[in-house]
This record gives sequence, structure tokens and C-alpha cells, in this order.
Amino acid sequence: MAVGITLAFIPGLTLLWFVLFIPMMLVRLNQAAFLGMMAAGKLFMPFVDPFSERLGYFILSRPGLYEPMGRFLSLPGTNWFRLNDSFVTGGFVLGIAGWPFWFLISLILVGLYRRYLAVKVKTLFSKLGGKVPLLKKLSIAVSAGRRIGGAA
Amino acid sequence: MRIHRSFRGALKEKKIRSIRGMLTDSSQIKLFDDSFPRGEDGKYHYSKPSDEKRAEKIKGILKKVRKARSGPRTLRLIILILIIFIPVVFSLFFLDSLAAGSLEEVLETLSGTDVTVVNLDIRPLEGSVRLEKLAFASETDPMVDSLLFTGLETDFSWSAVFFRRFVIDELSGAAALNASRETAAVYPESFEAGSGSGGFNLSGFQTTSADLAELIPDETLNLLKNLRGSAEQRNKDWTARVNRESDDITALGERISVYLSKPLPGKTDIQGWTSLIEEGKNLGGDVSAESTVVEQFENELEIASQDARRALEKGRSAINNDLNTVQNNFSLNDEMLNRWVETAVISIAGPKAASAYQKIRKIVLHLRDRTQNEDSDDSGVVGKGRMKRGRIVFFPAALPPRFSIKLLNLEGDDISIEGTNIGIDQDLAGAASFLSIDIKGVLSSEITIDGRETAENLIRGNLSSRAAPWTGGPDAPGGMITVQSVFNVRGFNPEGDADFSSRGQVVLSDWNPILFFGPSTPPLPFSYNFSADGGKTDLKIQIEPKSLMPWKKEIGDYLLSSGEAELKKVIPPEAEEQLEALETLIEDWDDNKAMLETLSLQLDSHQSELDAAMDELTEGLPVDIPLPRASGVLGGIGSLLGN
Repeated sequence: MAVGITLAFIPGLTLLWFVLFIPMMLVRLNQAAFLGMMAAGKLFMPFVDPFSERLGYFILSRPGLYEPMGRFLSLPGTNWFRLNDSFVTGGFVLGIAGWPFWFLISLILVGLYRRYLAVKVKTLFSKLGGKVPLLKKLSIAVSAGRRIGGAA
Repeated sequence: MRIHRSFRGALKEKKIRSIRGMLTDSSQIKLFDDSFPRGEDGKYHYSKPSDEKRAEKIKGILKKVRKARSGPRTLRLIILILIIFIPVVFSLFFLDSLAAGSLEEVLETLSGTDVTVVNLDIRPLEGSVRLEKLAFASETDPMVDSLLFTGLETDFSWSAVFFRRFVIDELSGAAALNASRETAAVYPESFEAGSGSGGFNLSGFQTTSADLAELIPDETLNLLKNLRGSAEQRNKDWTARVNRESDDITALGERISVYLSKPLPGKTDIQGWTSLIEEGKNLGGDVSAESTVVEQFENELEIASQDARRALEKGRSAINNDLNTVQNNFSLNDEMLNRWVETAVISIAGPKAASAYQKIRKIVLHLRDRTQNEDSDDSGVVGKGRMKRGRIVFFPAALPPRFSIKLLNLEGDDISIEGTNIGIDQDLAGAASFLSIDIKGVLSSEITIDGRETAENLIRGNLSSRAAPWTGGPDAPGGMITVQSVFNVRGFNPEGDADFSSRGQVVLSDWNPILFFGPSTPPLPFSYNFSADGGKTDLKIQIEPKSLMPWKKEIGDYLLSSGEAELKKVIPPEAEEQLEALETLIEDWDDNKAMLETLSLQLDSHQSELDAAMDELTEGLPVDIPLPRASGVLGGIGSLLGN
């Protein structure tokens, strides 16, 4: 879930986003929570974007970064990361630097889910699953996710 | 209860050993060995234990083994492929049509006319792009493409793509002008047909006549106004008096009618006869007085009418004097002639120059807006997409230009376009752009675009045409134009500050239709200076006095030969109005004269009636009192009766 939040901060369709997204899809983590959190996080981004943009511009405009970034961006392919864009850099830094915080938030969210929502969701899917086979499979997936738990 | 499908088939020795290595409990190993006996083919096949508990146990073991496996997860890979590669594959399949649509849209925005893109073929692996046809529709004829490119071929540099840049090594193809279309052009919504026409009619001298009208001095107009005012006032007063007099005469007629209708007194009623005669005497006196007044009015009318005619003549004379002054000025005043030509040229060329400038400005601003959305350092958090909200910070990176065509070569029968380093970011290209457009036999231009920070001009160039056709508009004259000009742009920015200037020499020749009455219209050479700052443009014309000589002669001859009727065009409408008003007043005087004649006839009628009444009285008198006739000398009645 924390990785999902991190990727939500970074604007999509940039090489940086793909570079982070593809490995995350290949490692063992709760993919449903990862993708779901990334989608949900995008909904809140309009409120965070102005702040992340200012943060990115603040970082990029540091004099000490001028020469190193120039050398970095002179490498082939690095321009596709678009790290000279204040918005991309801000989202990237906010997502990576805030990862422990997002992890804690994820734990809290999972705890709250298990305490208040998990049973109701499972019951709902069980009822619906009796009528629709596809939803039954989803119910099993929810149960499996509940067992895996702390993979957030 | 079935085991996972990956264990249902025949397993090789290597796989069995791998699974056995993952199991630590000896009972689990034994159960596994029992469940997967070696077959005759040397492979191991699953054999379901007869005991349900053992079957359940082996299934659990296999499930754990499967979960603990290493290597790629098929399902995740499928999801990944779905998320990432489907859009990529979709783009590859539909890239051509998507790019063609986008290219068409951008070019229509830039050119403002209908653009046709046919068969755009992008070959990423080859690093080449081919375009069968690119056409820009004529702004005046929807069935004609004013500029047509065919067989465009280009190869782009993959090394630049790695830097998120697009650099074309060479772009070549064929070009043509004014090619006919099979279907009518569909212009974009913002298209304004004929927006550049001047709408000036030199042959009619409409503009110049208006200028000349300023030469009629205010004194003449004031004189005309005063003459008209006094004549009108006099006419008004006089008409009021005549109307009053008419009323009096009408009342007198009524009194006479009443008098005539009275019965005669008895023969013995001397008092009655005396009073009747006395009354007749008074009426006669009144008729006589009115006749005197009418005669006086007739005299005054003659004088007033003559005054009005004199005023009219005076006004006409003043106008003619002014016209003579203007006519004399025609042959003398260079400044006026210069102003005429300047007005004509600015009327024709001004809107076209302004339109061309605004088009160039729009293109540059559009390109800058696109690139500055990506590269601006001062924008706020604006834009719809998330990627448009960021600010680009510049770093000293060694990058290729954002867009560049290293070599451009478009050749056709009637047009040739060549260039090097065409594109954006010439500072990164390390050299200025150079573009040469040669419309064979008509126009050639060389344009240098230099975006380097140290460059003096963003764009500079020269343009020369060799007798290209031109027209001032649908109803305006046209001819051939020869231009030698230079221009430069120091900068554009979205706030509107810009410094664009152009100066050069222009010769307008082969006028059609021929202006004035000469066998041909003389060529008109002039120099111009066009400057633009933001949305404002300024065009100044300077004509050499020497080149004005043939024009002065032509125009002078034309004006003199066209006579007074032509010269009258310079009379301001107000002066004509004043003169017409005076003429109307004179007609009014004539009407008043007719009215006086009517009054005079009316009085004659009254006199006749009184004469008849006197005759009747003479016959009816009881004593033999001689009574003179009333006509002419009614006043004598009184004296005869002793008054």
C-alpha cells in the first residue's frame, strides 16, 4: 500500500513512474492493495500537487544541484525521467522520503479495515458470490488478502 | 479435491529432486515419494493416495511448495503486460493515424487554413517517417491547395530520441504551388476569409476626395451658413407678415359680404342711407389701404428675392474660388500627392502586412507556448494535465535541440525550399537555422532563425519578389509587385512585447485597371518601414519626389480633364447643402410672389363688389344725390358726403 501511495505521487507516463512500477509488479507484495491504493491515492493528488510542485522547485533550484543534475541529464535516456520538472521531482521526493510515513498510514488503514470492514466485506462477497461465480472468486481473494495481512 | 495443475502432468527427475529438496520433514518426503511413483517413461506421475487424509496432506504440501517457488509469476506478468504493453501495442498499430491527426491539427492551428495529411507512415525501427501528401488549402479558393508537398521522406535520429528530442537528419520531397483539389477544403472554425483585403478604391478617388475636402476653408462654409441664416430669417418674417395681411384681406372680404347683404333703408330713412354710405366709405378706405400694402409687399418681395439670388451667387462664387485654389494646388503640392499615395498603399498593404505579422506572431507564440509549457521557469501551477503543472529548471546539460531538421530539401517545378538546422533550440544545435524559399520567377527569401542567447535577432531575413501579381481587393486595382526587403524579429513573448521590423523597397507596376486617363499607369516605387510592437503595427511609406513626377502629371491631367464635375467631389457635403437651401429659399420667394398676386386679385374682386353696391345705391337713393363709383377712388365717397 505504501508503494502504491508513492507511485500515486509521481505523475504517470514518465519513465520514472514505469521504472518504479514494473519492479513492484514483479516482487511479492499484495498487488490488489498496491494497485488499489495507487488508484485511490490519485484521487487525492489534486490537493497535494501544489505542495509537491513547490517542494520539487525548491529542491531543484538548490545551487549545489546545478552541476550534478546537468551531468546527470546529459546521460542518454535520463531526460525521459523528467527530473528537471519540479512536479516530477517533488512527487518523487515526497513519495520516497515519505515512505515510512505512508507505511505507518497503511498499517493503520489495514487495522481499521480488519476491525470494522473486513467481516462486512467478506459477508457481502459471500452473499453475492452465491449468485455470481466471479464475485465468489473475489470473495476468496479478499479472504486471502486478509490472511496475508501485514504485507502492506 | 485436485492438486494444482502444474503437478498433474509428468514431472522430470530434476523437478522431483527440487521439490524433495524443499521438504524437510521425512514423513512429508515419504508421502511425496509415494504419491509420485516413477513411470515406465522415466518420468514421475501423480498417484492419488487412497486415504483421504493422505490425499489432503499431499495437496497441502504441494500448495506450500508452489507458494515457495522462485521464478516469474505468470499472473503478475500478464497483468503487467496488460497495463504496460497494451497501450504500447495500441500506439504502434494506430500510431500513424494518431500522429496524422495530431499533425493536421497543429498545422491547421499554425496556418489558419485547411491542412490535409495523407498516408503518414512512421517506422520506428527504421527510424524513418514517410508522408505521401501534405497540402495547405488556399484561403480564397477551396478547390485549390496553395502549397502541396508530396513524397515527403525523413529519417530521425534515435540518439536524439534517447534525450527526449526529435532531430531529423534530412527531410526531402516534392513541392508544388496552387494544385487543384478533388474535394473542397473544410476550413477551421477560426478561419476568416479575405481578412487581409484593404477595400480601397483608388480609381474612384473616394479617399483622396475626402482629403481634398479639407481644403475648402471654414470661412466659405461660415459665409454660406450666414447667408442661408439671414435669408431664412428674412423669408420667415416676410412670410409671417404676408400671412397676417392675407388674414386681414380675408376678414375685409367677409365684412364687404356682410355689408352687401344688408337690406336698403326706406326712401324716407335719410339716417339709414347716411350710415350705409358711411360704412361703404370705410370699407372702400380699407380696401384702398390693403391695396397699398400689397403693392408695398410686391416691392419688398422683389428686393428680397434679388438679395437671396445675390447670396446664392456669392456662395457659389466662394466655392468656385476654393475649387480654383484646390485645382492650383494639384499641380503644386507634392505633400498632398505623397499623402494620397501613402493612403492608398497603406489602405492596400497595411491590413495585409498586419495580417502577415499577426500570423507569424501567432505561429511563434504557439510554438513558444508549447515549448515553454515544458520549459518555462516562471509559470505558476497552471494547466489541465498534471505534467503541465510543473516548472522546468534549467541545468547545464549537453542536449540536442528539442526539434531540428538538419537538412531540408523540398523541390518542385515552381517552388524550392531549402534549409539547414530548421527547428527549435538553435542554441543547442550550435548554429543558426537557415531557410531559403524560392518561388521560381516570383519570390525568393532567405531567413535565418537564431535562438541563441547571444544572438542579436531571433529571426532575420530578406525577401525579394520579381514582379509578382498583387491586388488590393475584389474591387481595388492590382498589378505586379517587386519587393526587396529585409526584416528582423528581436523577440516575442506571450505578454505581447515584441520587436518586429521590416524595411525595403517596393515597386508597383502594370496597374490593372489603368488608373486615370493615360495610356498606362506609371510604376510607383516607394520605400516602406513596417514595425510591430505586441499587437500594434505601424506602416510608413516614403516616396521619392523624383518618382512622383509622372504621377503628378497623370493625376493633374486626370483631374483637369475630368472638369468641374470631378472637382465638385472635393466640395464638402455641408457646402452643397447650404447652397441647396439658398436655392430652395429663392423658390419660396417665388411662391410668396404668387401668394401676393392672389391677394391682389382678391382685393380687385372686393373692389368690384363694392362698385356694384355703389351702383345699386345710386339707383335706390330717395333724393337725387350723385354718388361717384367706388372703383379707384372710394375715398371720394366720403368727401361727396361732406366728410
